[in-house]
Amino acid sequence: MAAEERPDIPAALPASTLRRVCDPAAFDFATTDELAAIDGFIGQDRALDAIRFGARIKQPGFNLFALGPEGSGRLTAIRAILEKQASTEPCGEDWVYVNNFDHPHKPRAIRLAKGLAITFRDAMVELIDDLRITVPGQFETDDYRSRRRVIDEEFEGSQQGAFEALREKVAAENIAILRTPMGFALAPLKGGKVIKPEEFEALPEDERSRIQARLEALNGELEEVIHQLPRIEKERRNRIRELNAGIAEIAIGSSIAVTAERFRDIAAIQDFLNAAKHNLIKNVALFLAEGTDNPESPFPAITRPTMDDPRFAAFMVNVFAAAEDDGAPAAEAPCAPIVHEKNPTLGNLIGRVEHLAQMGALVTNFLLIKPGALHRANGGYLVLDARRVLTEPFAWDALKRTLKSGSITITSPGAEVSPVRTISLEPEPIPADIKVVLFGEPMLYYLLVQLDPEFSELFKVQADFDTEIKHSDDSVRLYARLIASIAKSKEVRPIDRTGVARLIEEAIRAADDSERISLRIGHVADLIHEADFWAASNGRDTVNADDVEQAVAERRRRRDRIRERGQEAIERGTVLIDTDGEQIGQVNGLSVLDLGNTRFGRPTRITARVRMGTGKIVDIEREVDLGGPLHSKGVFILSSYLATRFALNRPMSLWASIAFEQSYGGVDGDSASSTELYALLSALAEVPLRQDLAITGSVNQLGQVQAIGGVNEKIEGFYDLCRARGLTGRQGVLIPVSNVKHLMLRADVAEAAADGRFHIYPVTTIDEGIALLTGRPAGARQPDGSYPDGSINALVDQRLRAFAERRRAFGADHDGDGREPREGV
Amino acid sequence: MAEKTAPNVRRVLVEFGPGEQSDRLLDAAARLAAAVRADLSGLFIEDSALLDLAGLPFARAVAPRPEPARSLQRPDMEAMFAALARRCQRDLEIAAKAARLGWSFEVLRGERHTILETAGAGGDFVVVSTEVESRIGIDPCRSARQAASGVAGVVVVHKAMRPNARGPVVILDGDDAAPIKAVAADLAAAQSAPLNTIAARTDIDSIVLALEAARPSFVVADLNSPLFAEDVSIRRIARAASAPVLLVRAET
Repeated sequence: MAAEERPDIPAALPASTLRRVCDPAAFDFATTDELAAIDGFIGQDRALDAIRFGARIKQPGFNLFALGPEGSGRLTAIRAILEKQASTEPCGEDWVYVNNFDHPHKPRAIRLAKGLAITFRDAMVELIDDLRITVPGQFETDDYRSRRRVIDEEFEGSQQGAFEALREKVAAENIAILRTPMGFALAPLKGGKVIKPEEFEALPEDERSRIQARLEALNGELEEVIHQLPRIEKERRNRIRELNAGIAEIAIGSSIAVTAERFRDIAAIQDFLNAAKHNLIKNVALFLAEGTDNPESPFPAITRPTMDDPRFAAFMVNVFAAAEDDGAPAAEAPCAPIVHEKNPTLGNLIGRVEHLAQMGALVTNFLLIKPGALHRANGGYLVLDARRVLTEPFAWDALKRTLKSGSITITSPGAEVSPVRTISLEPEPIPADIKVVLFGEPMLYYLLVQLDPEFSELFKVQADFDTEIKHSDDSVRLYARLIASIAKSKEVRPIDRTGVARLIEEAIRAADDSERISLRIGHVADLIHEADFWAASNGRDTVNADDVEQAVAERRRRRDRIRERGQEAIERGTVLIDTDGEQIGQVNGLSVLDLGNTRFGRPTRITARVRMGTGKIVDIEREVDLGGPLHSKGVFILSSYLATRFALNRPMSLWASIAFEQSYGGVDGDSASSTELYALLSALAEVPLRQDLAITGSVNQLGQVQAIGGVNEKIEGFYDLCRARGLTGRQGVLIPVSNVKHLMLRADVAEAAADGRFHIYPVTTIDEGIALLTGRPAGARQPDGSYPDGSINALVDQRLRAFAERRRAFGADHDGDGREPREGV
Repeated sequence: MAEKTAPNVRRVLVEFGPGEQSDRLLDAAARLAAAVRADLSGLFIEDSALLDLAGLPFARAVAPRPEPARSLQRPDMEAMFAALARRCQRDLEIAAKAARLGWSFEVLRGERHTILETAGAGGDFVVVSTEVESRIGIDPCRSARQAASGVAGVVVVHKAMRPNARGPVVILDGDDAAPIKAVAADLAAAQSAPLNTIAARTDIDSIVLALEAARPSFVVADLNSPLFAEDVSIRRIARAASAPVLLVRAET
């Protein structure tokens, strides 16, 4: 009897269930040009509402985390909603850093109304520009010069006078004052010349003593005169400083008063100007050094612009105005700023203090404080890629610190790690009023929730982006509009209805579910770009289904090298896989290899061997640490199935081993547990299994076959091998019936099934599967506990019974290996 | 304008004193030498008077610092002379090479004023400082004038001079002495600086005011002008100009 005609064997699925076809005829448009762009996003209501809520709520800690996979459109959605919200909010404030004249290493931050920062900065430049003209003028007047000369002459006279008086006094005693490299010295003279040592020695003793005593006495007076020179010079400098300050105060005071009047309502600026005034008066010499800074230069003096002149740096203003994302001054922004920092290093996030190399040393000042994204987004929104923030050293801690403290503090990476602090700037922290929006993978979000206790306190709003929507006529129509929107925004050729239908089919395939459509917009957009390329190559003005198909095929081909090599190894007989005939204890399993940007199915031979034992089933993969925990779980479940089905009232006297043949990597997942069970049943019943079928599906303790992942890739993997060897019309794959809804097979596989060259069998239970694989009925347990003669279950039962009896005869206290018996399945 | 007849200057001679800062002297000397296309020559005198003084058992030196007088020893003095001479030679070499000038340096031992009077020749400009000092009763300005008797001119450099290389070259014009104007013109051309004239017939106070306003790079005047009859006048002019003052012997 043919398998399809027996009631205990499931029939192959009709081709219509293997692939959900999107019919272009269902569309009422010719190309996407006729479709209105979609206003918003489809299937993301929950996430969009969360972002709207997060953007509007102003309480601390209600920052956003948008979780969704790459290409889900999360960033586009965030930007669109934030831009709408920001347009209703006031612009951010301006901030400037100015010099702190009392503590220069702690620059002061001043908050200003929007746009005033630039005004203030320009006002200070104007002030210094004015002073550079007016102050030197004050020091060029005859009045000043006269007063200065009086002081100079007075002190020079004082110095000279004291010196000359002493010189005249000692000269009267035939002594001169000489200048030596070590200082001034008194020298006794003879005949107008310094007395020579031998002449001095020739003098009478009392004469020598007299000269020596006299010189020692006069040395005291010389010391007094010489030592007062620095004091006199200091007095002179003080007098000149007082004179200069008096002159400077006239010019500087009046100019600063004009500037102060412009900002009369801003106390912080008034304080700064007051401090600047005192400092300028004290350092008025800055204005008098014009044009003399480089006397060696062969070129005429070029007056530096005030902003670039290091002499006046202390009086300049470092503008920290809030800015738009593209760096334009915030004054031009019509609303609250939205900043997306794509490279959130510590410095790019919280700002940094830059340094200049001068004479081999690194120097800095408050003008080298550079704003970070937090400064630019202050008063608005900061959008960050969570993964990038977490992978940048210190950035995550700095971000949390800012959100917790409510202020932006600039620190350097060196200060974070070094136990030794070098002297640098400590800019005054700026109050932060920022809504931070992180986006990232769902796994990242859940890890942060679990591992970082502060995370949930700081990011209270979760915007969870869905990856797919339900398939329906409405959702297909919406999806067509979404495709049209992407085509228009990416400025590609219009896509005709066949192309749209083919794209939607790919989106269904991407969802791994024929009842769902993937919302990974990025992937769709990439496919549209590639299809547009092929349309151009094919000389078409519109993109059609052929172009999309070519894009899919080319993409697959680009990524297909490893799959091809694997299949080639099977075709050449290096890897042993049968696709025809029957074997005892041997079956074709299916696995999926996921390489990130591609995944494919691959058949694997699974074998089972049995003998008498104490109920132990050896999972060889697990024994050599190649099996993962889920795989081991599957083996334990099938062991339990066997024990409870066949050895209810007697010892399980079985020793069995199961192996993935020629598998040299790790194996995990339980999708092969039904396959392993089939191999075991075949080995026990000593009934061969069909090798032209491959199996996937996990099994539970009741013998029910359960859904697995990657069903499409697994089927296609076996199909590709069979097609390469030649389709016999008997080949096919057993899948769990609960996976039928996930089927979205390649068109060629569906066509082969439609032609009866390949078959997909939906299996509900192990009994159905073993019947299909062996051609014998599995056999239902009868009231007396036995199975019908000739059935697989009866054969298994008999074999296990025989093992048990042999074991009893052999000695219940020994297993087949002569070891003491142990508990276990 | 008088005919340009610049003195034929062979070298600019810098005499380094025992305690002077050489950079101001060398700056003035190098600019002048470059302008008149002369060589730069350095002279370091190991003053025998100072060596004799260091040989006396009670010799002490008082530095302008709050510390007791130091005992002077002849070996220390000789070592100090040697070190100073090396430093002055190095500075001179650097200045000469920077200005692409030929240069020479000589160390002589003996009585300073004797060496100085004979060191300079008719083709020399001698550079001296006005720094406060006393060398056995010889005032530096007076010394300059004495030195000038055998040379083409003397450059007086004030101790508080602040170089202003881009300022004008100023002639203190007492008469129509052609050599003065010729040297001043050479200086102005070499520095691409304007050439100004201040009438030296006016009183010293007016000249001082005019020089302060001019902020010159160099001042050129006639050594034999009555204006410099008093040493204090040279000092005042040098200080007001804050620039080297070249006193040229007009009859050269």
